[in-house]
Amino acid sequence: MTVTETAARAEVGIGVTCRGLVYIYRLEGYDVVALSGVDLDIEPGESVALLGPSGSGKSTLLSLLAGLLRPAAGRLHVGEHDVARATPAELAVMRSTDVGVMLQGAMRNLLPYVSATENIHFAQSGVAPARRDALMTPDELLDLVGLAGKGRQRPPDLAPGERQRLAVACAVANGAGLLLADEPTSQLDTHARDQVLDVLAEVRRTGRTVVVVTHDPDVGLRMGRTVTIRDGRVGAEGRRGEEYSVVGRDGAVHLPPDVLAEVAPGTLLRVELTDEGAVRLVPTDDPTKEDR
Amino acid sequence: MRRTLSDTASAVRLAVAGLRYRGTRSAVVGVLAVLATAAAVLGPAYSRAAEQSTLLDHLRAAPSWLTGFSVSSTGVAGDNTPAAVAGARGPSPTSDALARIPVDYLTRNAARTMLADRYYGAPVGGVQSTVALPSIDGDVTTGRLVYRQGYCQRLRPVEGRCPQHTGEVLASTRSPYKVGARVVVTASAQIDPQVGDAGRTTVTVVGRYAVPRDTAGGYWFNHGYFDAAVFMKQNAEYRRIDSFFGSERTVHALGVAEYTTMADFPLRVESVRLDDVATLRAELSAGRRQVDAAGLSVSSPLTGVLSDVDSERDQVTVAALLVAVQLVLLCWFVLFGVVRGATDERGPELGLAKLRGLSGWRVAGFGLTEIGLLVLAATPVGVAVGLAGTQVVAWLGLAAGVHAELRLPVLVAAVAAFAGALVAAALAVRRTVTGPVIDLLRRVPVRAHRLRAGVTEGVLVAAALAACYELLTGAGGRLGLLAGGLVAVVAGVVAGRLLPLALRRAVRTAGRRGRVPALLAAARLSRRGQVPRTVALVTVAVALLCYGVVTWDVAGRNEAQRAGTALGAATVYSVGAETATDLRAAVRKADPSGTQAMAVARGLYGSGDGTSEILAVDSDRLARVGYWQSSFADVAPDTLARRLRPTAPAPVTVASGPLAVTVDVGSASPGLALVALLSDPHRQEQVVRLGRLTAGRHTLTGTVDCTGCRLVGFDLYRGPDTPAAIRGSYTLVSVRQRGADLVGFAGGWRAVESTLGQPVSAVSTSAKGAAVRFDSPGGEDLRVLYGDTPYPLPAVTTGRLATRHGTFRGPGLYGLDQAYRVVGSARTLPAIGTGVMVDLTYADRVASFGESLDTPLRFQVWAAPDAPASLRQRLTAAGLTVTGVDSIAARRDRLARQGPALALRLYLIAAVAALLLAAGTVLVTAYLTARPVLYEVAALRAAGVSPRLVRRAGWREYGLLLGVAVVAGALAGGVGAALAVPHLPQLASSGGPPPLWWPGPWWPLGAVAGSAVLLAAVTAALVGTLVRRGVPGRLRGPQ
Repeated sequence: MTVTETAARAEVGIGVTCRGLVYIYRLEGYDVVALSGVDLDIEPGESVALLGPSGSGKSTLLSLLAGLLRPAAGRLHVGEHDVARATPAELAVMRSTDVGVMLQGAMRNLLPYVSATENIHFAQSGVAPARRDALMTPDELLDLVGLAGKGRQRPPDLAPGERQRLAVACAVANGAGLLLADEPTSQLDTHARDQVLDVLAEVRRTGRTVVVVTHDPDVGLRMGRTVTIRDGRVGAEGRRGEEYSVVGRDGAVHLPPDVLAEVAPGTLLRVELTDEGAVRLVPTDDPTKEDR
Repeated sequence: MRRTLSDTASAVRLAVAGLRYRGTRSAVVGVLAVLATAAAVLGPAYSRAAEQSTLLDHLRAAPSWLTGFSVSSTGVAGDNTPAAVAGARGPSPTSDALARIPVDYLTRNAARTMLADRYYGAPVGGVQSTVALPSIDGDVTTGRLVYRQGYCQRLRPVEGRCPQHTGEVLASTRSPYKVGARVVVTASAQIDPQVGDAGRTTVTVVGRYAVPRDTAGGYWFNHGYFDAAVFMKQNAEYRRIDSFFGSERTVHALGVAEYTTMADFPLRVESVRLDDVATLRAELSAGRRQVDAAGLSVSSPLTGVLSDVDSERDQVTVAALLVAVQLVLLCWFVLFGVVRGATDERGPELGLAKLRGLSGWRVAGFGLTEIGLLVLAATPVGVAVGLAGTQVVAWLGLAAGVHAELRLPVLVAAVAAFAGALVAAALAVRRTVTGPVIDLLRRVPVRAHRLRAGVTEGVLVAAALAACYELLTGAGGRLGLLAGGLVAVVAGVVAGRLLPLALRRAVRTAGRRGRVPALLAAARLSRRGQVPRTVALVTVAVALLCYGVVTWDVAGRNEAQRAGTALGAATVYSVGAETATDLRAAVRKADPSGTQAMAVARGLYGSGDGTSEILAVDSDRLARVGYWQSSFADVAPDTLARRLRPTAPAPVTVASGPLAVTVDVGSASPGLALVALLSDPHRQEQVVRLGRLTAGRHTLTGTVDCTGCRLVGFDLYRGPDTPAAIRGSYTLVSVRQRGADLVGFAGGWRAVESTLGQPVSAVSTSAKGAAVRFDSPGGEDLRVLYGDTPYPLPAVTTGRLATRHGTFRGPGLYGLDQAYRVVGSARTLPAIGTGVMVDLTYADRVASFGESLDTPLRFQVWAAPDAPASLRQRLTAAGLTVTGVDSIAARRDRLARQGPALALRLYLIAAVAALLLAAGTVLVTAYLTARPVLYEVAALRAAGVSPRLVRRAGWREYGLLLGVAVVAGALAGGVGAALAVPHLPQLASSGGPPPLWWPGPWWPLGAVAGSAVLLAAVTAALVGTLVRRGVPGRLRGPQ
């Protein structure tokens, strides 16, 4: 079966809805707010890259989407799953059927001592037996990720890019409608990175929703939609390389970094709506200063 | 179904692949599981082997008549009255029938009735009857007429031939009957006059036999055929001669007589195993009932021997059970730690399984299958290793023919170890499976459940306190036996808890002072989760080792003390000598240095509570040659020896020829003659008549016909004209031979003691001579004895005798009554334990001649530990016949094979196994948790910390971790041993000196040092690995 043929076995993509999503890491003696009210909608079949600086909360958001963490507040729906309220067993079922997760570092997703085929089998073993027959076979999945003929090789014997693609295959082996990938292209050369991105595109073409956490703007560009997480919130969104600020449900808008460089925090801005329908931000001095 | 099988096969495939991928770890964990299983099975396997060894040792040591059985039929020929038979169902046989049972018939039927073909060898039958013989030297003489199957092959005719016809017999060389003598023998048993006159026949001696050596066991079955003796009975002297041996017809030729027909069945000891004991008992019991019902009787002391065996088996079994429980618990602890470490190491894999949405059961299965397969494979190997270890121990220290056996208790122990490992794995997996996926994926250590741990530790402390209370108060129960183990566990838990707490402050201190190695070591020890577990494990192992070593050492010292006390010297030769004087002279000739050998004579007199044992030693050599413990007496042996041998005039030896004695007679009844009493080298009395006592000073002369005779003293003999009542006085002025004075009179002359109010002389000495006065109405003993021996004889006494101060009377060396003066008391005397110790020379002199009729005097030569092997040849060359040798080492070997010693040896084996397990566990745990530590070390190296500092930190860390455990373990082991040792049986039988409770310094110190060295080697391996593999390059790889 060729890639084209496997693509024909389209899956139903799963959408995501986040509303005011909050997550707090509780450490010894202090708390760290990782996400402080994320609003985000991802349509089924969409391809999204979560961008942002280190510590911004994008990996935390991915873990919340995967049901690995439970939100402190807010609502989170993954397909029909209410992640905030689901029991651990329900979350396990969600991961076994609807969500495929790919952790950062290919080897963390694979059992190093069994072959690629057996890794895929292992990834499918969480699926209820009645549903397993409907899943793509290991050969089909290997074909999907460009590893046809390498089913007998063990992960350590594969090239880094191949391992990453095998990790993709394992992540979607359960027939998940949502693929969550954390830094799938890190530590790869350009060629290998492009191959992984091709595979992700192929996965998307099967109808799945793909959400990727990355630092790489080029990856974001290939994903079509980018969501930039800053300080635990959605700071900006991009479409085909163009970045936009996003107005939050509470009316908050994150200013782009270049604007922030000009406008120091604490600056008073007059927000003016122009006749053309544009919004103009005008820095203004504090009028009470003269009185003082 | 097919899907399930496929999933199972897939799970097994995954597990096998995982095991191969983690080959080294799998091998190490597998080896540890093998060791744990082997240790678990060691208890029951060794216990069984030790029990078998005890059984075989007892059976082999006992003579055949004690382990076999005899069926006998006793009746009077010609007596047709029914015999009294208990439990008979039919008519009782007549006494005549019982007397006339043919030997072959009895032997054949007894074998069938007693089911003797399985465990017993070929029986030996025979018949005997006691007979009266013509008197010898006026003594009433008795004997036995005996037929015993195959006697001609066993008795060596030294003269003549074996009997071939009826009426011919073999006689003993100890009897006066010569070949060709015809002897009239008469049935001597009491026979009802209505039956007839006692039977009589004449036998012809056709050969003479020498009494065989092994008369108690083997073929002769202790029937007392060779019991020649002379004894007093109702003021008459009796003589019993060794048995006559002839054919069955010869015996029955007596006619009307009491006959005992018997069949003896020797046990085939080598064919008896523990499993056979119950059958043996049952068959004996059943056979006995049948035999009794037929009017015959069965004698079987085997049940008594088996009771002794049971007693020792119990001691082994209790100890083995205790050790087995401790070992199995330790194995569980070890396996739990190892399995948990191995499971924790697979945390990311289990996290991946959870990430893929596998259900909890499937994740648990995924986690368990790998370790389960490993433990499953290790179990049979562990059983094999345990059995092999037991076999090696059996070869080295148990009775020949003892083998390790695969039996149900062994399998139960193995299954318990396996089940414990699986439970440990299940608990570890459960803990992992219930943890957050994200923590598993990030390798966040799982926190221990503090409340649960606290409850467990509380239960352990309570159990330890209860066990100690039981021991200290002697409240009984088995919990007390676990005190040592429980104290060790509590010490381990406490040390494991305290160490991290103590080091938290050290972290701050080291940080302030900038001491990198101290900081790193303290930080790791105060924060790593496995520290308390490791400390506890090593503490328990070291404590068990110290406990085992201390108990073993104490038992060994008690064995040595018991052996030394029972024997008296490092090596003891039983020798044949005519007199104690000969013995002493021969030993002094063989060892002129006086440091290697000592002459000893021992006598046992009386019976029951009146039994008294005398130990006569060459006291000059006692301190250097004899075995002595400070617990024996409050004074040193050389002091006691000096007290035993005060100075006394030298003995006077007279030569053949005239002996002139000058006496100054004041008055004397008519007819009284003075005689000199001499003791010849054979302790026979020689009397030299000197002449009649008449008033005035006279020199009386007699002729000595004796070489090397010792002057004992003088006596007065009555003449035919001497009246019944005699009186008088005389003074011995000089004793001269060949013109020389033989004796002085400054002191040392005494009259013989009065017994039963006998009149005796009164003696006073001065420079002028020994003045003697006597006044007797008759029945006197007027001997005057030369004082070459202090009298009463100086003696060191024990027990009830030691409570008597001053003097007391008792049997002397040759059984004759004499007086003793207590010069010292002892709690224990070498060789005899309790009794009287005297100087051999004085004891021999004081009983100059004569002996009691039942004198079982034994002569021995005691040899010092450093005496050369050539001593035996020198003793032989000096004229002694060595008839047997025993040594402390040989006795210790025998004691070491008794139940308590075997049990204590198991403690030691278990302790060594525990230490090896602990060391292995430290290695495995460190290996399993190495990854983050290696990363930490790599990061430190990358930050500029030198390998030297990393190494120092590692040594400090493991030094503290294991050092604290070794110290805590040594203390706990010492406390446990101090509590338990006084309550542990160390020797199978009681008696002997009070047991020792303290070990020597070397074994405990050696155990601690050995532990430290082993753990230091482990530390070196671990630190070396840290430094070698914790390189900065590791930071580039996945953590």
